[in-house]
Amino acid sequence: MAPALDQKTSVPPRSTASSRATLWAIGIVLAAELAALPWTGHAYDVASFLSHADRVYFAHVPPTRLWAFGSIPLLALLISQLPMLFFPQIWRALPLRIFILKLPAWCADVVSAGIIRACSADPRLGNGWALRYLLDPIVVFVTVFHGQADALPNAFAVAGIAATLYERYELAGLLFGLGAGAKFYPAAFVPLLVVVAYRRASWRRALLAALTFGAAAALTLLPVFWGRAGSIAGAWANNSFGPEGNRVATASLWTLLPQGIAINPQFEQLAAVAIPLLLAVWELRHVPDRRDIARAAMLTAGSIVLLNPGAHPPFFLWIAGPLVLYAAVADDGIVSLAGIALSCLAIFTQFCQEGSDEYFSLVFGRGPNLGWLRCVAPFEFLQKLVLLTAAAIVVASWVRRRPPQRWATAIRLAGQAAASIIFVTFAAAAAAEVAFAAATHADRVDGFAAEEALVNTFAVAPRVEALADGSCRLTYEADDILVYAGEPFAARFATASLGYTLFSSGDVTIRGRTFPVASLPSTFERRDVLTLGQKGVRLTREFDVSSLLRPFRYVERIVERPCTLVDENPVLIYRFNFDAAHAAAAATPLFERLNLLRRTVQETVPPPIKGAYHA
Amino acid sequence: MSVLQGRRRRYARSAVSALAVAWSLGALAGCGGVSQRPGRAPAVAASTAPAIAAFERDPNAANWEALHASLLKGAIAPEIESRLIEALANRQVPRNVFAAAAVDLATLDWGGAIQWVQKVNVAARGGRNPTAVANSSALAWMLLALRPTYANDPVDLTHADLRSGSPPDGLPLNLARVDFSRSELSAMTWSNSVLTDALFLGTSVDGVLKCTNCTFGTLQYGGTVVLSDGKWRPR
Repeated sequence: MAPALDQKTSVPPRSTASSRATLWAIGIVLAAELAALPWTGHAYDVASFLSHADRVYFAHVPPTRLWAFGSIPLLALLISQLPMLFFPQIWRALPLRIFILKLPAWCADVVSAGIIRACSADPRLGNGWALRYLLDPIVVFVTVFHGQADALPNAFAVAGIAATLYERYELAGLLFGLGAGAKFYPAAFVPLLVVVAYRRASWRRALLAALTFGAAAALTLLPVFWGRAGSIAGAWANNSFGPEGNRVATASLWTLLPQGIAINPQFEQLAAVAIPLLLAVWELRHVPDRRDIARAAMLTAGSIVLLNPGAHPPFFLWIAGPLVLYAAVADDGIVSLAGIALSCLAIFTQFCQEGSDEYFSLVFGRGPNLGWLRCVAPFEFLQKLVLLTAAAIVVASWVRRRPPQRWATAIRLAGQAAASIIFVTFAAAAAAEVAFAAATHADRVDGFAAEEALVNTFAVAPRVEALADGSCRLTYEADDILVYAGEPFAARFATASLGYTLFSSGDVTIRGRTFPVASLPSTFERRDVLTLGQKGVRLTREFDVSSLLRPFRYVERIVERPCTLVDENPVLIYRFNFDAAHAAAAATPLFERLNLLRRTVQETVPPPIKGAYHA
Repeated sequence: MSVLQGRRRRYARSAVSALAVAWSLGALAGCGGVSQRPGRAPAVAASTAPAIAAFERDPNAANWEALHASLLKGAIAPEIESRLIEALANRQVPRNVFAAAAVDLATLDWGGAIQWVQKVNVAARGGRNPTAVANSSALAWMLLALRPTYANDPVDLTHADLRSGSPPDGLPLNLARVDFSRSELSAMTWSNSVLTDALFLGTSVDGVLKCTNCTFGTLQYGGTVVLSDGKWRPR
């Protein structure tokens, strides 16, 4: 029988003055965060989330279409934006929408902090570790400033690790399963869970934990994967490896490899996944204690973020929870301090990659900013610092010998002080930028409208097949992105056009009708690059084919002669007119809308089966 | 037993520490790299020389596709670029091939391509070669149509005859810092175009050159302006 894991300091928890002060500090931090929630957000990510809810509530498309994550954040998004269904008139009240969008992630952070508090080796320090987590720069950045929902899977991951520490292995399996149902990655902790359950309890409990995980993950992932596994896998591969399997904008440590050493990204992904397995296997050698488990979990999180070939800086939040949990369990101030450095580096990396302008553009429109939140060092330099910091965390966490108590306390307090100073500095800079943007940006409506138009423009490049008569057959597979196919209610607000980089006249045959392209109504584009996958295509002219392509189909075939010789041309572009959809929704009571939806669906021929289109 | 366990434990601890250090050092060895993922190694394909020669002989779609495929394999060499532009200027090239070549030139080396086009145009103008003047003019306008909106490098189109192949009315152009001085233009209406620091000293126009809703520096002029004596004046 393994010794009990609950090796907390025997000092009973008591409310000291410092503990009460920490509680007050937690309250102040949470209040400040709530006040900051509505004013900033990553333009693309937040617009994508809001658009997704709008497509469901105004266009009544199935919720899982175009959703690339698990069903838990989808549920959180739809619940948070539920007021839009009943009151479409407030869809432009952006601060309110952003506030309620971020609330579930903010609550998840509070839960994570509570779990870390409960796991603290010394109960008297619980509040301090909870505060340390809430002040972690990447936690504040991702949840409060950026508006991503990574805090949800992070909370499940932290809860799962905590359950493992408390020998509730089946519960841990359930929590990791729910985490995987949020954003897949908490599955990486399962090998560790199975090994710990096996070593500390029995193989039956290990099996039960794994089965619980499998059941929870399947139940939460099934609604989004059903019939869409290919789309989700495609989105994952595109994010991880790029469309050609060899290029992707990333913040992973693999970017530090010299130019001549090109490692296959698939191998890099394998390494990121193999390390958690090796860490788990390594724990087989002994009966792991609390510190061993928390450390292995932290290193697992570090591996799947830092070695993920498609890692983006906000992913560093995945490290923050397990890292602070480990620091609380092991009372390891050095790792805590290094974790703050890692989080800061992630934020600077994000500013180097994308700048900070767009965090203010949704609410305040585009315009100049003060430049207080910006890239402070070359990306490559930051990546080297990330590597060194990660190495320091690895080494520090393996050193068993604790520094003298006085030093340990000093280091822990230094970490909390550093986190506090960074929080205040970041909050002040963000507040100044918000005030400046509010005072100077003129066109406040434009930012969200432009971003929403961007995220609802879906471009499809053709698969070209040369025919014997010198013409070309262009096949467009819209697959998952065409949310209006088979959705006549939504199709009313959608348009389709053929986009050319440089138009040279020719004929096209669409659904049996042949005519010159130039006879179609056209617009000139001033678009630098339209993104197809992760490849940019520049367009100069578009021809409207909306009426010709209704009802929209997942697969469209067009014959053109002569063949366009420009790559990716002509692009088939679908757009969704949100202004029209919102106006229609605002003018029609909800029950009437739902009746209209039912009638429209009943009156329409069943949608064609995917891929079954015959020209 | 306990001694054995202690030894094993010490051994395990050292091994794990060594593993962690090796992992860190291994990753550290990669330092001194670059900020971007290594893509395909840039190299000029060996097949480019015969492909450009074939295209020069007969600029048809099949030869273009062979040349296009070899161009995609690496950076475009100045010699290949100039030969391609001269072939486009001097030969009768099908419209779809011409457009595809312009797109590749704009993608691979916009700045270099527009320089060559200006040189070819000015030389053809002096040598009284109307085909080359017309084709190089059309190529120049295609490149200008493909110029990114953020581009702000100076572009020299002085002394060029740009009356052929002018863009259709309504196509937005980024003409920031384009120097049209002493060039020849035809009557056109530009729309929603950027004319910041564009120069028109001694430019001659066959008719009226207008610009509607165009941008001059920080000013977006809502109405129509007309080019007169090298200056834009409200209509």
